[in-house]
Amino acid sequence: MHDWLGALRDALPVSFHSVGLSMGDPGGLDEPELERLAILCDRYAPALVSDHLSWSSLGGEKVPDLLPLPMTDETLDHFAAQVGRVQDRLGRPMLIENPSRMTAFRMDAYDEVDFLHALARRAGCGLLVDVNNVLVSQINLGIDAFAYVDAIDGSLVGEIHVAGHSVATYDDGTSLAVDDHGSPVSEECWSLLDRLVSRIGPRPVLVERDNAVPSFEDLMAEATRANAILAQEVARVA
Amino acid sequence: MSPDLQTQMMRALRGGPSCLPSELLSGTRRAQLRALKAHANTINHARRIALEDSFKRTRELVGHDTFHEVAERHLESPATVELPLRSIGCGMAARFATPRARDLATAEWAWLEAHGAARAPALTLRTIGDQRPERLVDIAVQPHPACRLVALEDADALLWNPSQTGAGDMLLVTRPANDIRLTRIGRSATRLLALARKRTTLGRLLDEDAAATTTLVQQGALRPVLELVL
Repeated sequence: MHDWLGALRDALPVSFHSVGLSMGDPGGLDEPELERLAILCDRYAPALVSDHLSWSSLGGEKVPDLLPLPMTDETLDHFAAQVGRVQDRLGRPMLIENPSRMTAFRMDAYDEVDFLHALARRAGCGLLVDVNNVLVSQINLGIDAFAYVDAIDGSLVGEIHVAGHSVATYDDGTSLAVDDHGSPVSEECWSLLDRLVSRIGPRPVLVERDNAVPSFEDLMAEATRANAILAQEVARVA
Repeated sequence: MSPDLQTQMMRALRGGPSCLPSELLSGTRRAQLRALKAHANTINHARRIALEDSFKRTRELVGHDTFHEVAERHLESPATVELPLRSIGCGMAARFATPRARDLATAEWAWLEAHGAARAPALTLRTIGDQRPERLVDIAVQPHPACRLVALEDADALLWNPSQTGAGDMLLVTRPANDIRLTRIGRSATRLLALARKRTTLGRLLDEDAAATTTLVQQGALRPVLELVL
């Protein structure tokens, strides 16, 4: 594994995308996980490091999911402090990914984009914008995905993700979208990427696919499409 | 932070709809429950897949249903859910009903531990061959970080692949380079590894049992202890 990763790093800049820091744990982030991440960062010097606005542990129990946080001042204080802890340990700024939300809290006091902007300013971190997560939140919470990406402060964005999601539709006409990374990137997701990149300029884009992984050719076709959107923007600016 | 809200959410994820307070989430009750169910399914699925991936051979041996009955009991343990996903299979091998399943599961877990262990140069027959005899006996050695030892209940019935060699009631799992090796070893080699854990010299091991020491070196079970020369 190290040989492969080392060879990749020698050929290209790499981005480390953590899912395990659990910065939203009220007891504090997962320190052993941070140490492991720090060792990897020292070894490979990735161009970008990121994790999620979420929690994955509570009272010692590990929960293998990215659970949502209430968007409150209290959460902002805690999360900014945890991001600061990570950045101090790694000696570099990190990116925080917008959540894929299936539900919202009654006590939410912030619009999600406002919360992310406040977090970035407070903690000095950047943002990783997953446009598929925005789509999932649109389906589940009724937000306007295009208005969301239009509101993002482009100067904070260091990386963009695209992916597929599944949607279950129920008898009462409602739907639940799940960010399962198990299907092709949707046309709406490509449109959101195009919209975001055409406004803020090109950024590194990751096509995420963890389940029902298709053929290499199909994966490359999605990577090629993402590259074409970036190249189009580079050509337009030039 | 919001520990009370998160505790309520965790309680609902564990306990189901009756544990979800009405004032926690927004949206209709049906939508809230669907979202919580999706999160609970994700968590449950991730844990089960991690166990299936950790014990592929054992699952094939005992069958899907039996495997998941054991997995269910394993996941009910508070100690288990405190483990990160990569370690969630720790201790599960002892829960299987038969010696054959326990042996296979223990060996699979040792294989995974060896796979994930730190890399380090192993002592090899070639490096030994390059040393002068008087220097050779003084080389301090310890077990290689990827070395694991499994006590088998029914060694002759162990179901594994053909790379397993040797004889004895203990299974030595090593990864001196990229490949993982399985070797059955006996009491003498086991005793030598116990000596090496306390740090000893190659000379002492050779004095105890030269043949068993050679086996340990051949399989990459030992590493030289680096000594600062000032």
